[in-house]
Amino acid sequence: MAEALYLQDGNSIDWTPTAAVTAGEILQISDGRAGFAPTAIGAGIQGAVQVTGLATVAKTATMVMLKGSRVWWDHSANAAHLLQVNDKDFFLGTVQEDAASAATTVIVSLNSKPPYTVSLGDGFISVPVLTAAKNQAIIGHREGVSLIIDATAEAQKVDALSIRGVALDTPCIAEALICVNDNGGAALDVNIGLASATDATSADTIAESLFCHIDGNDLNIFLESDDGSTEVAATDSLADYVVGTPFLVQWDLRDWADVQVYINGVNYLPASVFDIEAATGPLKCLAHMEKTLDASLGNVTVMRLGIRAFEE
Amino acid sequence: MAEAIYLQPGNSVDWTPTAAVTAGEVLQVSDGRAGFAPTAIAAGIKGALQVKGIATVAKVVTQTMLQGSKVWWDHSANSANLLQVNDKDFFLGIVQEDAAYAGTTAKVALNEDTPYTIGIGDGFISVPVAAAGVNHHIVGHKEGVSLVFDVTAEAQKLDAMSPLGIAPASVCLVEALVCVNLNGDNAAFDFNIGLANGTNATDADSITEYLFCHTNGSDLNIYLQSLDTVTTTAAVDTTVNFAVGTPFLVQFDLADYSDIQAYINGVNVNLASDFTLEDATGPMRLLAHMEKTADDSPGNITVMRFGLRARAE
Repeated sequence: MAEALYLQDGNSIDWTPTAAVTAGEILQISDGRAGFAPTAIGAGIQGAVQVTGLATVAKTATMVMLKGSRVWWDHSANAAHLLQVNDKDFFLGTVQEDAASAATTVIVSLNSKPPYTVSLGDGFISVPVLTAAKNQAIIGHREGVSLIIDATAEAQKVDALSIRGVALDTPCIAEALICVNDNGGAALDVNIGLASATDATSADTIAESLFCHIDGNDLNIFLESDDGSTEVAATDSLADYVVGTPFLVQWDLRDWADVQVYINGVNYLPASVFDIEAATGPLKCLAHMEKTLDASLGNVTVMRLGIRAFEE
Repeated sequence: MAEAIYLQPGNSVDWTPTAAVTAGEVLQVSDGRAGFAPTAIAAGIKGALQVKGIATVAKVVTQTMLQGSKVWWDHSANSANLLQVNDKDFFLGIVQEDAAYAGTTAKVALNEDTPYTIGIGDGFISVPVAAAGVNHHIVGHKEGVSLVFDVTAEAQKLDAMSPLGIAPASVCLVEALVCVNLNGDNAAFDFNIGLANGTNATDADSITEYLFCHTNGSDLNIYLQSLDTVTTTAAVDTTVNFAVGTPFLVQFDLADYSDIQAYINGVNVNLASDFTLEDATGPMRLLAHMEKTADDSPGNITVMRFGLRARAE
């Protein structure tokens, strides 16, 4: 035969299900992509599933889905979800329009994963601080970083600051998927979000920042901001994390004078005014873990940290 | 002019070859993608190459190509291959349906590089163990990780475990492309890669549920082993050897958790052993784990990619 023969345009894929598939059903095809059946397919009968284009899909009714968010198909609940868990969930696509918490549907670009405008995955700057530690580490991932502080009783700092940032008032949504693997002792501080720079010892001394903040030995998720003019000190969001379970923080920067923060799709501290309007920027992605002189451990995987800008 | 003017949908791209191209020929376009010519193009004449869609392509006849496998175009042999080598090979796409070992064709989604359902590139958990060593490293990649021991005479452990796992009985393909750059120099060194329900500070064999491809220091054999709450299949030599510096592809087809099929470089190597996770409670996560007992053995392994792709049945 020739080296290649054209078969199909690839927007839909042949699919012969073991069990009957109903019209509109979403399933995962053999190359890992999401597909949905525009029409019903009988058991053992070859049909086709759509793998490209925009679709209106069922969503979890307790999550705000901001446009640009990645969503997974919750296999057990049969609805789009902002988080993947340890069962059969699979990547569905990217949200095209904001969907309210109570909404039951969302518009999704199937299997589309556009790159962040700015991301740690594009490379980052790190200046580790240690004296004697042997098991401290900064490990880059495709879109994130792992930060590890070891038990040596000394001040340590590990960080990852994106090379590029966004200018003041750029409409964008920043997001971080964070898994705290070991939250150490009270001397430990973790800050993740946007900042104008980094610091060798304390993220609190950075001039301009918009952070999700974690204290050692504390499961509270705090939120804070500082633009050099207005500071909102670390405030307990009242959302807690679980060690070993990733949580998603999203900052909606369509209004830099009143940034809205979402954790796992829920708007936290809406009455707090996280105002970074007076920042000079540029604001970059920053993951920063520090401890003062102490034997505390710290181990956090930032699975992704990026900013997606768009026109208003 | 306007900032942009629509030109083409992009499913095919213009191509003016220097030498004549025959109908069906596969070649690499200037942006690095694979393309094929649906019709012949004469030398110096502008034609078009298809870069999207599903195509039936020639395949190498000595590899099983499991659905969900990435394939490259073997430039010298003019056929799809699971492995890229150091010549002009280029990425072709993803296999859509299982293609048998002796099959001569495979259905491929051109240039699709679909994400793993769970990939080590999505971020992983590491807890390095060293007491005095300073040149041990864990280095993350786009879809993989490098693990590097130094020659300090002490116990060391390096690992990378995915935060998320998969529920037992989920049908999936697990694959790892592994390059041993510098093997351990004695039996104090062990490397395991595959699925596990946790990690361990000193010894991967102490993990309670796993499915591993295993290598030893000073030994080129590739072993397989599995353990769930009921059944232990101790490390079995696949009789396939690796070469230092040459990547090898390990794939576990978990269509049947009571009889998991393993493939190395597209060859089914299950022998008579049954590798099972049927009685695992999971969730089963991706784990790459390198350890040595008190010894000055080096060790340097690049896991070029490591992920699992689930599918409906």
